[in-house]
Amino acid sequence: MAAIRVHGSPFSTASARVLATLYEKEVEFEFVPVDMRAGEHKKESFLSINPFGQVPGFEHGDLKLFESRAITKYVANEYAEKGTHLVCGDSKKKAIIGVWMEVEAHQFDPVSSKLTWELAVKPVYGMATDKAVVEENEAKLAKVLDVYESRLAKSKYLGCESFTLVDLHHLPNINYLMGTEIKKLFDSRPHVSAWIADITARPAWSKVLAMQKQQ
Amino acid sequence: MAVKVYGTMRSACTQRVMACLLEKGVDFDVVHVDLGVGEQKRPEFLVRQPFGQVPAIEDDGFQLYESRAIVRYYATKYEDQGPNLLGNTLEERAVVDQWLEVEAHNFNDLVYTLVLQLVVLPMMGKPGDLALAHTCEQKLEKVLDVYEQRLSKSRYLAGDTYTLADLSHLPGIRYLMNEAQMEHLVRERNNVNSWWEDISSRPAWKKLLTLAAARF
Repeated sequence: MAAIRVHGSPFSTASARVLATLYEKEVEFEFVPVDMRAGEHKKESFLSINPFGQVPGFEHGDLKLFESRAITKYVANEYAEKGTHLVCGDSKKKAIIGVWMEVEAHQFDPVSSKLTWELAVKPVYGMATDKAVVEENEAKLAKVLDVYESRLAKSKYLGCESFTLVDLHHLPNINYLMGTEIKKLFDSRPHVSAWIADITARPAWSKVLAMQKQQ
Repeated sequence: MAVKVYGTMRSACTQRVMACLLEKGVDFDVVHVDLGVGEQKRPEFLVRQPFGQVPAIEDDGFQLYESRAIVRYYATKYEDQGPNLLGNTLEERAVVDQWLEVEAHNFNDLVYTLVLQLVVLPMMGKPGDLALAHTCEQKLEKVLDVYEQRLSKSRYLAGDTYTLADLSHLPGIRYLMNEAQMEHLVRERNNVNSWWEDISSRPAWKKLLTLAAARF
């Protein structure tokens, strides 16, 4: 049986996305840490794993993949019968889930990633937070969360009535932002707040957090 | 009943959807959304697309938005009609997904920002940030170097057949090479250039350009 290998860092939001999926699916894997502080991901030796010099990289036998959202989908489909069902429904339901996957990728992620960088990562490296960037992206995130609030008033989870990859993809950035001033944007929206409480309490996510603590 | 595509002929994301529908031979009508007057931000449109962006589709009552979700839906729905844009095995599909993600996360933002600064803002009478555009150009050079390497090993991005991964790039590259005057990014790379020549001469893409020209 071919082994699964993930190359990355549990602190990297993209790596965490893949790790969470593997834990949800209860699939064994080998984790190969990449020393990002030392710039290992930009070195020649890593480029055969991800030619864009980014984490994570993923191997399953002969199959090599990069881009976290392609990897999570592969894992969810390859192990459809195992662990949590992370994709669901007929073709129309899948299409709606597809919409919200794109929403996470294009509406939520760009804005939340910038805020994570400014408020959660830069301080750790002793770099100064750019207040103008924070202000601009906080305003954008508020608008996105208004749409989420509306959606979650009608649907228990973003994609459909059960937890899927759509919700999971949000976990890494939400986790960082809940530890910053951005928490208030989530807390002030009851449906968003309830949804966050629910998805962050999942055992699979706790396992990813445990990996972070081990580093 | 034809699929209704709410958007504009000029919008790259609307073009992504139209290119897919044309490849699959699916009938559609474009319902023009007047971006110039901010029609996409009005309440009547927000019920269709709550983020106030184009495109959105309506197909016999079924509604979707986000161009890449729309093309995935139609590529799947009409899998047995026209070219297979998805791949066959799970592994092939994963590689198609991978390169669709690359387009969305490594390529698109750079092209979008560059075109915004060099083409769109000046058209609106506002100054573009040339330094920012230049930074994007430099980053795109590095990204396209990766594409050049990839395309030395396979004819198309995800393998030996044309898929959504290639199609997704068409609108952005066209803008880069025309209005943004960044032709060199493609021409200076043999494999990227051959690939562009190939995908941009597909009948479906040529048909789209004809339709778009009629509306410009």
